[in-house]
Amino acid sequence: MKGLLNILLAIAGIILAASLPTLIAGWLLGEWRWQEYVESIRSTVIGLWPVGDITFFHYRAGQEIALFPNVFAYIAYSLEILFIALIAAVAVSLALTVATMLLPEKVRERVKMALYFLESIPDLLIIMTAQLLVIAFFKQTGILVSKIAVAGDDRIYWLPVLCLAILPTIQLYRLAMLTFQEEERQMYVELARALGFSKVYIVLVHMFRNAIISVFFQSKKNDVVHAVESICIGIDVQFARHYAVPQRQYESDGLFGRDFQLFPADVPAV
Amino acid sequence: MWKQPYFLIGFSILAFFLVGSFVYEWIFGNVPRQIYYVTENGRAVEGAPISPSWQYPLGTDQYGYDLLGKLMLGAKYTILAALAVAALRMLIAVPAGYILGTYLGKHRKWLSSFADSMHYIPLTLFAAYVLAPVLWMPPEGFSTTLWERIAIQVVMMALLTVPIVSILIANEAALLLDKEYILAAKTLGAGSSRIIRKHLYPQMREKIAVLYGQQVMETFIVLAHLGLLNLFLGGTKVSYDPWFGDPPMSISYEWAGLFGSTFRYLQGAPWLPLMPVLFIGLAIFAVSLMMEGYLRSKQPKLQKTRQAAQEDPLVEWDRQQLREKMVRLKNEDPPK
Repeated sequence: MKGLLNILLAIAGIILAASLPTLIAGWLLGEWRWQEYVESIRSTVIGLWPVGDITFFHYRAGQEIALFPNVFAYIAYSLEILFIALIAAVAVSLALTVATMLLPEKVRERVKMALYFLESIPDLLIIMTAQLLVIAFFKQTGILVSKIAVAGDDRIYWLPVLCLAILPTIQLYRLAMLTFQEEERQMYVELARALGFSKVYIVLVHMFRNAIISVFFQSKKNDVVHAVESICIGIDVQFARHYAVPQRQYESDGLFGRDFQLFPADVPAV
Repeated sequence: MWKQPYFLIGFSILAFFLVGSFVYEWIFGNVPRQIYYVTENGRAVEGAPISPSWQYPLGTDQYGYDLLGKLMLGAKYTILAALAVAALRMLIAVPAGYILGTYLGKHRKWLSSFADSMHYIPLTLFAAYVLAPVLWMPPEGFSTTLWERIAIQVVMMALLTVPIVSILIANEAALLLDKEYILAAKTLGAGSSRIIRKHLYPQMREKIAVLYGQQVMETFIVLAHLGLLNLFLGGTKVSYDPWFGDPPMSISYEWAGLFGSTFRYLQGAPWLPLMPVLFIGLAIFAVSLMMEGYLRSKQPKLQKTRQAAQEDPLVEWDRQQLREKMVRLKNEDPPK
């Protein structure tokens, strides 16, 4: 129920925000366009129903295309990549955490410190270096790790998954390290150690079960989802804009070039 | 704080960029040096964009302008804008959060679920959508000046996440309000404003500082994303010439623009988009260093206990002494 309310609020927020450019365009000229704003909201809301009639202008196809059956193909692909990336991030970060927990305390602190600073790498840098590395690797060895450009129905998996997974892996790794270390101070770990269980056994069997729950609860609050989302933008823009159409000419006909346009055509010019 | 090496390193990186930016403009003027081609023994060997060399440490762009010069000139816009966005955001969000947490405690729940819904809107797209009419040059040219546009962009980017940040602060304040000493203060007759000034704010000062650092980092990232979407800090210059239209360009040399407008050279001249992003990354890294240093300087207890634990002398049984003592004991008093 609460989730539903949140979704409705989010939609309301998006609709309210969607007409903001009208208001801002007027504001730049020194007038308040409240009427146009309300009018624009009204037409947006009216235009939303029936859902099946929503169309968007596809620049490459050069015509209007119905949103609804077509969007599912893109969404399915995006979600596939997103989930593969998330699963990979969880698996890799947990494996690394368990391995790190077996190391001495000093090394662990160093690792945590390094992770903290690695978190500050901008996602765009990761995406770009990943691409350059794939190409450099191909030039050196002749092995193409991942396709970079596609045409038609062909799909890329490895590179976007890799780009998407790196930052969440780092964040989850650090979070899991903190949680595991918290868990290590608990009494039952001490007891298990006193009973003579090996370090590996304690970490893998006893601590893992307890820590994993709180890792997942915290990661919801943590910005893993946010990171994924922000990288998504980068990837979408990048792969849609620059690789599907390698020889792109710059023509000043749309805000983001020819491939997609964010704005309805009727936004008044500033 | 000023003795923490982490803080000092981070601070000096940021200060280097900022001071360097102004000094560079003061010495070399606001146009970076330009070279069209490199000659060796009287023959032209390389045309713009020229790859990094000793003379041009970061290479030049497609028009032959020195990239390092451009980056240094642009540093002040980017860094000051990011700092200003985060500062303005905190200036609005902190008082709003406290007021929400103390005076409007009953409404906090539903307001926070309302602000939660903002999480579902990707910040970059939201910012791009709202800022486009301001930053994208219309065919007849801008009606605003560069500084006006920068100011508008800073204010809007600050306002975008004010609800989320202030709810965060309100929730934090509400947690503190349940503490016993606040109850005691209330019983002794302290009003809400006194509690905010004397109890909540001092308690949360460090958290607010860290939050500020996080906001600066986030702003850098959003600026870079906007650059990718061809919306540059202070406006995007668009050429509407149907035949020889230039690609969208940044008006100042700020980093997001340097990155966004050269992104398509990633394969041919990778230093062009990589270097600005690397500089953005460096700035973010500097901020996170400063945050870590600040936190460390505020937690001296933790370090002291750790040092104490390390210096704890280990009792080593000296075997020689032990044996001597045992032998002496054996010899001295034989049981009678």
